[in-house]
Amino acid sequence: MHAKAHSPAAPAERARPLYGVIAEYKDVDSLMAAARKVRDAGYTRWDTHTPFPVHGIEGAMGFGMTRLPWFVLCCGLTGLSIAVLLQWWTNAVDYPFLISGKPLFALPPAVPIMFELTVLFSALGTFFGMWGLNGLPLLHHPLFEHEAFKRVTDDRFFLAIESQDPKFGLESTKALLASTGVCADVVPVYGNGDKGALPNWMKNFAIVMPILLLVPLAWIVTARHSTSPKTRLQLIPDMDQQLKFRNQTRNAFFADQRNERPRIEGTIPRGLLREDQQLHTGKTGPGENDWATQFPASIAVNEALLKRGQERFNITCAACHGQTGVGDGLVSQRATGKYPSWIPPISLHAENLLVQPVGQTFNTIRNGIRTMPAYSQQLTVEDSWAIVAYVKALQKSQAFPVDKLSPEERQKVASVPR
Amino acid sequence: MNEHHSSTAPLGSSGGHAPILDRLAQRGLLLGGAGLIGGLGLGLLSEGGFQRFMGSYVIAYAFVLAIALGALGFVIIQHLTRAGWSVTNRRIAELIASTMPLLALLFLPIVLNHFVSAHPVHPWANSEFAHSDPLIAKKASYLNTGFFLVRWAIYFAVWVGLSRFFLGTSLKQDESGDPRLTIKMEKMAAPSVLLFGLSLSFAAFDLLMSLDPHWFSTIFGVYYFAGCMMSFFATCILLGKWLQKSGAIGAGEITTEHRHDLGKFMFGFVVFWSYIAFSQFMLIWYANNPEETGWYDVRQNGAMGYFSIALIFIHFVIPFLGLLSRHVKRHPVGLPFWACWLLFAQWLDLFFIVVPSVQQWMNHGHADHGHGDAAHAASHAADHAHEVFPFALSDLLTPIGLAGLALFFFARRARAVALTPKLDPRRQESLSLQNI
Repeated sequence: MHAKAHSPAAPAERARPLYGVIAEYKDVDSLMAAARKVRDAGYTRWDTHTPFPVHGIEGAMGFGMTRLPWFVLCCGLTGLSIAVLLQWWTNAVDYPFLISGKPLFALPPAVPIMFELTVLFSALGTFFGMWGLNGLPLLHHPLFEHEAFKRVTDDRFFLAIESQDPKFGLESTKALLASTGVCADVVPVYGNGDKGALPNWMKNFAIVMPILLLVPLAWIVTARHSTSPKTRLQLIPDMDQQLKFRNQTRNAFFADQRNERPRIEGTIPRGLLREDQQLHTGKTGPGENDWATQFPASIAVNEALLKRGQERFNITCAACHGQTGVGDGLVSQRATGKYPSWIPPISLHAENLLVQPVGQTFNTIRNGIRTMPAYSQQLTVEDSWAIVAYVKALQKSQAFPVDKLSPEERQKVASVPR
Repeated sequence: MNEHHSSTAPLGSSGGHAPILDRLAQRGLLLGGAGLIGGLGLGLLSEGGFQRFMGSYVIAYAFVLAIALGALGFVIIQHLTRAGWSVTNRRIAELIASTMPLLALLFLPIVLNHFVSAHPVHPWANSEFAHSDPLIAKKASYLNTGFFLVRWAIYFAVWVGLSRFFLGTSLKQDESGDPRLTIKMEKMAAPSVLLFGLSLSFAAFDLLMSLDPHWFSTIFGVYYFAGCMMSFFATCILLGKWLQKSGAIGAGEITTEHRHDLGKFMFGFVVFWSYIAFSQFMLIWYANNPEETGWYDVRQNGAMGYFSIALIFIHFVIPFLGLLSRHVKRHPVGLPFWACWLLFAQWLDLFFIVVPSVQQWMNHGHADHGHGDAAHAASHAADHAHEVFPFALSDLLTPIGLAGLALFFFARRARAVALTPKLDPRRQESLSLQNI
């Protein structure tokens, strides 16, 4: 700016509101001494400005304690409460879902979220609380009108007293500051009314943006409470519409347009040949009670089969029937007290089961009985026969007379903890 | 830059404080003798007899060791981070850490117990029993008295060596003022912190975790470390306060600012302990594996259950709220009060770790049911332990006894040296410490 252009502006400058007076210092010690002096003179609306944080300045300026910690404490407790409510409501009330037998709501898994939300809310509270208490964001400050103030980011220290201070007097305050270790004249600073106001575009943005943010929310709410015949929005179409035929859909390739093809009469699909009736059904005839009393010819009853049967039994059956077959499996034990409608499995050593034909036992495993579900999807035919063999062995073991045991075997039985 | 230049603060009043520390040593010895004799006497009279007393002894030992290890860790970390603020407090930490030779000596009863007793406090130390229990037998190549001794010899070599090095070098600097000694200690700090971390972790496994040789937790070393640091900061605050009050340390040498910072650290490690303790608990709770939940089972049920809940409050909730405010950390009575509180909490924590396991394994040798049935017998003992709260007065007296002996050792070592580093190049920085 040229000097000529500057001078006519001088009277106008005086018409601008007086912000306060500013004093300039060369080093921290002078500033600290001045701050103590201003503090002791009883000023309340003033501030110091330094290129870097100065330890101890708040003492020299006589700062009281900030209210921020209380604000942060409240934020933290809010976060903690929200975390508890959120988890309790979603997991135990709104959408209860049992996961591996854990309680619907328990503190141990909730604690990490409680911890995180407490920290998050505290951190946000600290950050924005600090902004709020400091009157931020501040786009402009009257002190920026003072040319020498630019050095505050470099190598100069400033102390400014506001004209709003009840103790303020232009001459008296200037005299007080001049008596400190200033390195330049103490001068008044005038504000610039227009500068520092929020630009219009920012105001508009601040109004429009939150409204725009509500649009997707409103969209979701509408969609949740309305129906539409239109296909939903497909973001990845080739994943939604793959080149394949789905169950129960039309297929124009065939004359009857059925996608699922019926079996062609007189044929058997590969792997579905059921030639040996006894092997696959446990029956030897067409009658309802034609149960096989022998194992099928293709199943060799030997130790390997029993071992396999034991393994499958302990995996598939023991959860309810118990490993000895008396019906004390862990699932049954737990369910008995918990659910009144639970019917415990009968003992595999019941009288009628001891004389039951192997074919009928096999049928029970394959197709289920009463409340016991079918296990034909979980077990192969061979494994089902292996389990039948093992159950038969188990039944024999429970009714074996002790005096027929060899001494070693007796010793072994006695050492099992009860 | 500080408000009151404290360069006029007296340098460590070397020599003048000897009578004060003699008084401290006397008290320490008195406390140590009374505590140990009382603890041993009451321990022998209690239901579990000598075996139960060894449980108390492990609590006491872990308690005193934690403070010394915390001090050693503090010294190493100060050098590693080139900390200036803590310089005038560092000598106290160096002196606490230099009680390591005494701790080596106090470890002998535990070793002796392994060799002499048929039911040693660490059940695996009875090798016949260890091999009869399939779970312990698998660990026998690590958990055996021979290897245990080798490991502890290494730990003590590390701890005694490091504490001697840092105190010795710092004392040398008291005379010469040579700043190169500071650089030497800083260089040494980096490998030291590795040795320190590893030795502390394994020592925690050996001394405390293996009291229940079935149980394992990889975070256990960190758990003990949290207690080490917390109890050290509490001790440092209390000793600094007492030494200053009795005139052994100059008024300007340790200020409210230092205590504020020590208080922040102490508070931080209250939270850290909780964080680690919970991390250990939550994973075990979630996975719900019997081999891990057994440890919590004996602590959650029966009389111990209330104790464990109380521990959460005494070790975390109450001190967390109590120490949160900066006013408390700067308060001349408030901070020492919470330091005492947290030393008590550390004792409670060790009781929580040690006693249920000792009770559970108390009768392991009596498992006459034959092969592989030890866990069964142990669970029977645990069932019995559920009925009554397993506190013995020796659990409290023995730690006081060992702490007294450590205090005596500390005071004897401290009487001849300056209680703050006199010529440390960062002494001025420490004296002019300011908290925002």
